[in-house]
Amino acid sequence: MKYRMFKIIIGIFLLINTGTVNAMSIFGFKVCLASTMTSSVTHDGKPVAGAKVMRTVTFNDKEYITESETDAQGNFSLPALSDRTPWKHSPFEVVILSRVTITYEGESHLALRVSKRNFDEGGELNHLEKIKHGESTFIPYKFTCELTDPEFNRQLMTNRNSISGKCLYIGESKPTEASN
Amino acid sequence: MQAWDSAHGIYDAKLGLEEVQRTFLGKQELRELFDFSSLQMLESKTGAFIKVKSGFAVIANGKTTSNRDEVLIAIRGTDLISDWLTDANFGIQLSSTGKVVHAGFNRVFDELEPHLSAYFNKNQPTTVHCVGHSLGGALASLTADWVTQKQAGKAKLYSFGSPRVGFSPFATELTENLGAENIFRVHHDNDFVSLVPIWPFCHTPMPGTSCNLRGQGYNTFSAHSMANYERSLTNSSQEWSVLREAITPQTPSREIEKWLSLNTVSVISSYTLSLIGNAIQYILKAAGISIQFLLGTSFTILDKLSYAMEYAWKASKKIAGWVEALLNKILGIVGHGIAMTSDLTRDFIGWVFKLLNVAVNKIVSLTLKVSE
Repeated sequence: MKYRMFKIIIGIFLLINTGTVNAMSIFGFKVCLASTMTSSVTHDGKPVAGAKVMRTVTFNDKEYITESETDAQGNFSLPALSDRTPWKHSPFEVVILSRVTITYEGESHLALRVSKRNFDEGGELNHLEKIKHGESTFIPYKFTCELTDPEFNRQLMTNRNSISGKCLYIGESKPTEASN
Repeated sequence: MQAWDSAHGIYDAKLGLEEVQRTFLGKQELRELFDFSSLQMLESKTGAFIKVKSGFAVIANGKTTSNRDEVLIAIRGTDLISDWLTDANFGIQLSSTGKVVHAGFNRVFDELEPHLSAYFNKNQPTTVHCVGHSLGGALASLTADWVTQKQAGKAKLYSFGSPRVGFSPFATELTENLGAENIFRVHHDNDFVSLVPIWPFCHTPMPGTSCNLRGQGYNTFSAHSMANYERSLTNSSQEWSVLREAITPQTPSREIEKWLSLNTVSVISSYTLSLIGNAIQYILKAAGISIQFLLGTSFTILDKLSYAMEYAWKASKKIAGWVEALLNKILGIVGHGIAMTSDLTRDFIGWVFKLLNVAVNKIVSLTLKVSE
């Protein structure tokens, strides 16, 4: 009995201590900080192979970096990023900054910059409540990037969020005004 | 929707000047009206990015021929203010314009004020659009009041899910100075933040109209989110003139008496909170206690309410019955099973109000927990 109690106490001690070091990853609910992103990358219309892709996500003063590279066809993908937070079910105003850069021939390009305002998968471009009620159609997190394009700053009509960068989501027409 | 865009975009201020600038530059309708390309950390003629310990603000100048003399101020607070809003013993202070307001909001505004002064010393706009969501809405109200008093321009106020900021003299004078038609208050009927602090704090415009959106389908928390305010506004797809509706007049005396006399347990909701506020007001009025009694800033509002309620309880047998019924209702709402004794003390009344405050604040502080 004493030995069992000892194990429980040690268990709690370890849990608390680990929690102090990395509280977000132990406690709370799993939330999506960045959605799975796929994109094709071209330069002057030609696929770009071997370009370095880096996604930097900032949430609660913590930075999460994911790296990838374009394949021979100029495609890359970044996996979804998740972590844990106790605040999933109390929708305070979430601000998750996500920046994707593509480095090609020594030059860095801002591919996509979006401030994600929810914990939903696909929430960068969508308002899931609207989709649930048939008020909006789901925009997949799939892009095309032409590196010779300017950085576009524009507003999504699905959730009125601002997105910037050279990547356009599939089906998006090229904004006429870059507004940098 | 430009007001919504402003209140939504300012949340990115936490990410710094460059990021918030990019956010605003992405907002098409807004960037066509205001210049976000030359915001500066120091207040200048070209716009400002203000960062203080407990909040942020962006000031942008109008850029079309028709709004060149207009200015947009978008404000947000940090979660530090939620502690002040939900402090059971919150205080009240005199605002920069000499009216009784919530001490927590006022302290944050005091941090912003020198920056606003610096900006308006260099700029003389005709119209100042003050915008904010939640605590930002409360700060926008204080800013609009300040702008009017300093004659820095004609202020217009736009708020989403804003808590109450001050007592009735603040609300009525601000309404009179700005004109009720220049105050655009948007709220879901079940957004808890817009229901606190309870009476004697009042909303602006007073008298006037607000845009009371139905929050059906949303829980207490999601009814407060900017995303769902956008959805409700988009779905309503109506002009402001149609959306405006008269602020619900006070609950009729008969209904308050009926509610108090019913021996049922109420649950905590936006409806019961408004009934409690109205019942307090009704009882104090019946006992001949004027709001002036509560105006001084030397004691906390809960202390003064307890004192006033004790006074009312002693005033007559009939009023004493209402006071006891109200306290019983509150005890039922917070799930406390203590039966009322026949001898009421100020301490006991204060304790009951504190229980209510704690219960409400648990909900509010969760709702207001802002990402840091």
